[in-house]
Amino acid sequence: MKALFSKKSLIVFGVYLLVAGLFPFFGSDYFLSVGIIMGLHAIVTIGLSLVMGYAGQISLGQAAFWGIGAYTTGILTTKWGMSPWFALLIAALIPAIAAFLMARAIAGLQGYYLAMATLAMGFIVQIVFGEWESVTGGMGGLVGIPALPLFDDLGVDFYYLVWGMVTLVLLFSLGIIHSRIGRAFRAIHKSEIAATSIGINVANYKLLAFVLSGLFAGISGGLYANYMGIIDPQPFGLHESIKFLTMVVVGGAASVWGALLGTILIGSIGEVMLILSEHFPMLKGDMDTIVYGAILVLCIIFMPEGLVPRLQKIMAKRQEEPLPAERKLGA
Amino acid sequence: MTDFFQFLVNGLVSGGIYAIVAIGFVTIYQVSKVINLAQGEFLMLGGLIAVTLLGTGMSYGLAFVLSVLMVTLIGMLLQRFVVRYGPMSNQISLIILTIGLSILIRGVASMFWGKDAYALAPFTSNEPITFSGISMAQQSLWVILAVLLLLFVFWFLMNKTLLGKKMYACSVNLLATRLMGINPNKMALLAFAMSAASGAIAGIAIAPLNVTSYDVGVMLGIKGFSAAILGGLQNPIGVTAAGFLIGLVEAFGAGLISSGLKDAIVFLLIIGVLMIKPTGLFGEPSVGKGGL
Amino acid sequence: MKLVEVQELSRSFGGVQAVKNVSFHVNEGEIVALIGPNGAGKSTVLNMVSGVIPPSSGEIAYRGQSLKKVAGDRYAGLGITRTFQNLQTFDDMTVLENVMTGLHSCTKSGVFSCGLKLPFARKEEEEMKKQAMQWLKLVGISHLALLKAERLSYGQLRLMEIARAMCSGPGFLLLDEPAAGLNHTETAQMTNTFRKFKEMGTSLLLVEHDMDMIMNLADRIIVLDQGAKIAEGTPQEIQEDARVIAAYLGQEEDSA
Ligand SMILES: Nc1ncnc2c1ncn2[C@@H]1O[C@H](COP(=O)(O)OP(=O)(O)OP(=O)(O)O)[C@@H](O)[C@H]1O
Ligand SMILES: [Mg+2]
Repeated sequence: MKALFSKKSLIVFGVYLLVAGLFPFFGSDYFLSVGIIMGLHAIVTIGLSLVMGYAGQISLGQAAFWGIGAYTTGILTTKWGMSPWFALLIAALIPAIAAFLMARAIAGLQGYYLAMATLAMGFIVQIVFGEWESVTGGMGGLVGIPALPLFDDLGVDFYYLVWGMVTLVLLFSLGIIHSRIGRAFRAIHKSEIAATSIGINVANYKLLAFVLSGLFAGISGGLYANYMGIIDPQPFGLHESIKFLTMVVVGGAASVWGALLGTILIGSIGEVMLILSEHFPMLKGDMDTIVYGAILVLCIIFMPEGLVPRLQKIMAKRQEEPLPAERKLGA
Repeated sequence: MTDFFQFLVNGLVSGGIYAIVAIGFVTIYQVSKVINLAQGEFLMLGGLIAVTLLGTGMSYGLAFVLSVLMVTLIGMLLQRFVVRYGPMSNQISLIILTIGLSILIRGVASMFWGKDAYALAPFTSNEPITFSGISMAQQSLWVILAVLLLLFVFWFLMNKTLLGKKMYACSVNLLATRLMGINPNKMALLAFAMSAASGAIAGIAIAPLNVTSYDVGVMLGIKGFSAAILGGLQNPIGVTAAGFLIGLVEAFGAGLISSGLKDAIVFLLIIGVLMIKPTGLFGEPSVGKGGL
Repeated sequence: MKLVEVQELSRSFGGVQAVKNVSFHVNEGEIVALIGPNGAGKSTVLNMVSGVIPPSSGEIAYRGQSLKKVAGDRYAGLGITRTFQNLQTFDDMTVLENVMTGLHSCTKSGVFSCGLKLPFARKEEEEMKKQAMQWLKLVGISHLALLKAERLSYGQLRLMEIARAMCSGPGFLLLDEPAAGLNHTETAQMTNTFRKFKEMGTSLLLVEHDMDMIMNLADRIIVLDQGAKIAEGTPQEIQEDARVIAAYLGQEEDSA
């Protein structure tokens, strides 16, 4: 039987485990919380990379699914008294269902029209969070969301829970990418006509990408609510959606490792900006917005494929041999 | 009844602005297939630059002209030094590029003007005009006037001048246009200039109706984008109609249902329309051989 | 035995009548060529028969079953696949992966078995690799299997597209100008490959401008001009047909 993973991917995965696993031993509590939030973001962006980098669709409203996950947990635990674990399970499912319904509704849209529809959907969801007071607590939001039993110290334990989840989502996505499903995603990205001609139902696979991204966002959102204990509509809007987008684009949408790396990179830049603004008050204000904007612009112009695919390309160039001669390598 | 007219006026005023923004989107899209999501920032810049210039004691007219010119220049610089180098064949990347530009501009604006709100003096007096129980700000009239004027100028430029024909040619067949000796880059530059200028005028015109600040461009841009998409991205008259439709739905939605839900109503309308007509109300499905 | 039967097929694009009342059939195990001057409507016929665009009117039946209500993505499962005049390859995938996509319709691992790498999915994946590799060998580019498709030459990409269309073992393969842009040797090789396909029991509908290939390969030729069928017959008959000669000569005058 063939090895489950190639040697190169085992090394990459080993480095990942080492870094993610050892991180809590090198930082303060503050850094731990930064690591937790990064992990939560990474779960969302890995899903988003399936939609954008693989299936070639766009979502300008990913924070909405994240929010639906968070609010599901929030509402079920505080208003219905449901156990946090069970609520988390439902928090994963509801956004997946929401993504299914949305993708069904807008399956026929392309390019700019799809961008508009996802943008609109994101706004609607955020407005509902703010306006449906009896259920969502309105602008004040929900308070007193319980932590997950077994992980209720919200420290190192919770960190490992989150990054364990990141790892699962990562492995699951890698499994999909290197399978007929992932190839179908990439095929519809390049040519819907060709994909159809080989038997791929384009609408269904777009739907599937959105549903998976909704599922991942829901898991992350549910955990976020458990972690924060309070939620309000503010973090689930366009600003956050664009931040997710930035992370995916910078790391490289057509790579789940790219999404992960982009998340860590953008998250770290945010932290650096925060520290800088404490020391140089004149940087206060929207310095981080300027930096994100500049990164997006520079990235699209100079490195549209993103960091990880660019690195892969450079490495491949280095080893690139001339085209193999006929029948020399013939398996 | 007076309520009805109040909603109508509000709807026409904001709808007119959305129409102008939408035409800005379409002008650039027609020429270069780029959707410039930084369009709303032109309105923000117009209003805020005018506030600053007026603060120096400059006359209103001069401040108005200068701010429009400055925003136009900014628009042209954006095209010349950024958007021109974007990946023209990839809509998703273009969307992200112009989103990046818009947050960059907004961030820079927040450094200049801070996060405070500014009031811009109205063109004429603050006294509302009242007749038979309906009152309306004089500035609202000015906005409607400015919108009509801009619409006319766009219509004239696109339909009655050689320049308009050249720009239209770019949208029909880029390669043929190039072969005819028209430089598409120049046309794109012009399109950006036109959109920036009209955006600045619209931005200055509505600033006195409300306060203005570094982030007013977000919603104006998104509503303009909504109008452009709802109208089908192709036909300036279609997107104008869509702009007014959105303004009216929003005003009546706010008045009759709930002001908190007005945006949600607009966005629901858009999703609903796109479900039925995936290329907007007046957009034709693209005819092409689809690479076969 | 008739494999495909096309009746009174028409299609217009706005004001252009691209195809007018075209009828023909393809027998099992037969190679039928569709020729005609540029813009005659050959690709349009192919697009309709392969389910890419719906006809304005007319009937298409495959193995006696009407294809009217069949969605485009189900054609491959029924055994109808195609290649494209303008290559439609997935250039960010390896050559092997490109061909493996062609097996989509005959594999069935779902999201969870793929995501969790369940044994069933892994076995199927290995099976796909093996099969795709065989087809690459058959068309003669197996040595390129692990390269990104973007590094291949035009001719190699055409071969790859053909392998992708063939690997699901279709009963009916539609080829839109497969030899365009190939040199003499490559065309001769491709002609041989198509003979092999025929021996394997796949029927071919071939749109091509290369007359050598057509005359060597086709059992029957259908000639289109300005959307209408103007002749049908064996290669011999077509070569002598006055209307066909006129259509082609007329075209030469136009383009001169
Ligand atoms: N999607 C489309 N929209 C509009 N017109 C089309 C479309 N597809 C084809 N046509 C027109 O229909 C006619 C037939 O085109 P078709 O591509 O079928 O010709 P063809 O015989 O394949 O030519 P060639 O040898 O150049 O490939 C042409 O006039 C073409 O311009
Ligand atoms: Mg053709």
